[in-house]
Amino acid sequence: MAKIALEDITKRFGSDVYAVDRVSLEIEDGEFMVLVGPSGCGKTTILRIVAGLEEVTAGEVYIGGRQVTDLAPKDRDIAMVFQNYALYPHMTVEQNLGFGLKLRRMPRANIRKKVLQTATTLAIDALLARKPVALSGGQRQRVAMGRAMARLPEVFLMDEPLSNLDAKLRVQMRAELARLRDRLRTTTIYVTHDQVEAMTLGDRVAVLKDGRLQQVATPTELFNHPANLFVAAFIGSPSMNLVEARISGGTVSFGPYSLPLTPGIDLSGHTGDTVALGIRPSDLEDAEVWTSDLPTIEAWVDVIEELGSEVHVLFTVDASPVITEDTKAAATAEEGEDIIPLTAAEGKTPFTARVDARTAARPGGLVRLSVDPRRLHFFNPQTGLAIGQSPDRASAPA
Amino acid sequence: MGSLPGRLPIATVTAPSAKPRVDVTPRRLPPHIRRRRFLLFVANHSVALTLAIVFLMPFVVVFLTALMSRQQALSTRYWPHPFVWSNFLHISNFLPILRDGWNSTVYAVLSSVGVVVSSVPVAYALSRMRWRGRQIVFILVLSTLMLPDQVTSVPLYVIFVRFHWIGTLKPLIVPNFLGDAFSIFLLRQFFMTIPEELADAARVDGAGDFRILTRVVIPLAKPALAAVALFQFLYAWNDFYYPLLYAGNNPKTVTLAVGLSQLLSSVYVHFGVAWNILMAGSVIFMAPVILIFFLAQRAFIEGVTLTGIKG
Repeated sequence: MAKIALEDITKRFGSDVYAVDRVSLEIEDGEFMVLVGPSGCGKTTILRIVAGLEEVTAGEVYIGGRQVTDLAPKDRDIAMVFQNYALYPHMTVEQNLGFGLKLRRMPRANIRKKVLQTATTLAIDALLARKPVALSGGQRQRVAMGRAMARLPEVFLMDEPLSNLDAKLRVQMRAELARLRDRLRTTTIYVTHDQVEAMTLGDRVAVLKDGRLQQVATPTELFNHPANLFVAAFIGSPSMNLVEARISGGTVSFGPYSLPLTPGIDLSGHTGDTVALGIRPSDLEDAEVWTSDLPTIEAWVDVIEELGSEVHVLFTVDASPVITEDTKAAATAEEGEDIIPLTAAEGKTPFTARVDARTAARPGGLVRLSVDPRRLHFFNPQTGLAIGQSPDRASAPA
Repeated sequence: MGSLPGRLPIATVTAPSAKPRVDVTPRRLPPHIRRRRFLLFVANHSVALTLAIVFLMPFVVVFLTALMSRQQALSTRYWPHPFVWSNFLHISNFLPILRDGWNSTVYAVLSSVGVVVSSVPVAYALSRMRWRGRQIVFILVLSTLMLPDQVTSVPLYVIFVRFHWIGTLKPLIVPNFLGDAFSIFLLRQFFMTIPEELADAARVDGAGDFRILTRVVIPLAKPALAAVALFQFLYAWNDFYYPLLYAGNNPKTVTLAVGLSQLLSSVYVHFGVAWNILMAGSVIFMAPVILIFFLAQRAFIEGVTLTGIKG
């Protein structure tokens, strides 16, 4: 087991393409750290730098207190799971699992024992004599995991290990991975573009964009207190509703609506300013189903999406949407998994509310939604940084 | 599922009950489609057969002539009458076929080994290692392909004279241990198709470049290695120019290809051209090539199934 520390690592390709830009990150011993971000954000490059497959342009890498920046992968005591598994096609499962041990000159009998042990853990002991070509996608994935586990390395590096599985298998493997994580408690860096994986697996999650760290926090913290617009728009599905709003006195108003500000939110410096207001779809609830004394807004329903356990109510707000580089980058990150936004006219913002399945809302009808003012998010539309949070909340890097 | 709001109720579909399957009569193709398919079948096979005959014809003629008597070989008859199998034994009266064959084998086998052994590391360095100037070196290697043999043979001859290698098989074999541009190119292209992640995985597993090459790349590149070795073997076996130039003046180092051509002239001088003997020699000359090709075909097919795997 080992702690990993990245110190100001930078990776430049050519003369001006920065794949990783001054990233500093500490991963505690036994911690499961997820790197998440849209494609091309540098997460895989960081992983390859930790693995030693890629050299840094600047910065240092430490594993277990040892500086490993210039060491070859084999001298770092790491194991890696690749996105396409990278199983050796000419070797059987057993040989695949034992290859790393063999290269480390472990006695044959010990290799056999270790391989069997690993295979049993992953329930692939019946497949040991097969070659990768004779395995299904899920089985290959397990073998790839097993190859990393067999050596009991100090650090696991996983590069989107679940992305080649079909949706159902992915959910199953995700749960299994969580169990393995809790059992092995090996320091792990896990790269994914899937925010559900990031949220469910990570002890902490590091959000990246354009090679820069946006926020490092626990999944709950990330969800409840995004440090900037990008994190806000990227984390959460359906994604956060972002709209231009105006602060005046003790209220925030957007379109025809006006909501009171709670005392905990300090926006005194922004009175009269236009800010970006964020409301999570899950923080809007059908006021007819869940009666409360929270303030409400009324809206005409455009579309209803029934998911069985919940209902997404889509409506339009007469206010300008927040469109910055951050929100655009976050939207492209979803890779078609998210709902295609309604084509909003000028000055109109599509909103989504995730409400109880018992809602009576119907397309074309009126719905009354309650909003919890304590769960509103505010951002400076120019800098994209979160505002109005108490200072101890701010976990964004400088 | 209930009705969608504001729309018609959706009809529900229930799973079919588990009734025993009733035998179905297979559907017959309509006559005009059957006729079309039959005509297409005939057309395709006619073309294939014609092409096969065109390619097989010379070989058949050579083989049949090899079984004729000397007089018949000069006649217009196609079918040997009688079959003179002893032609194959009589060759050794004209030509030291065992010695020449041995020389050809030594040349072909050792040069194939040399090409594979020397080209594999170069191809690996040009495809899987990152270093400054790699592209330039690759182009340099390729450019040697464009040098015509005629340009290099005189300087090479001078070099080999200085080495006192003329009249031995060394000038034919040794240069192959110094790499071959075409083989390097072919292997490089093949190595590039092997996923980079496999090398990365091996690196993380604890392998250096040498282990990656021997444990991962070479086992996966077997078909390419077979192809390279086969090409070199065929080239060396059929090679006439260099064996004649470097080794032809010493009767002990004559290869089969050179020997056969000498047969033509020596037989002619003494008896006029003995086509039947010449053809028998040709059959013996061709046999190993054909045999090896069929054997190597298995390696090729194995290779195709191997490279079909990704991940």
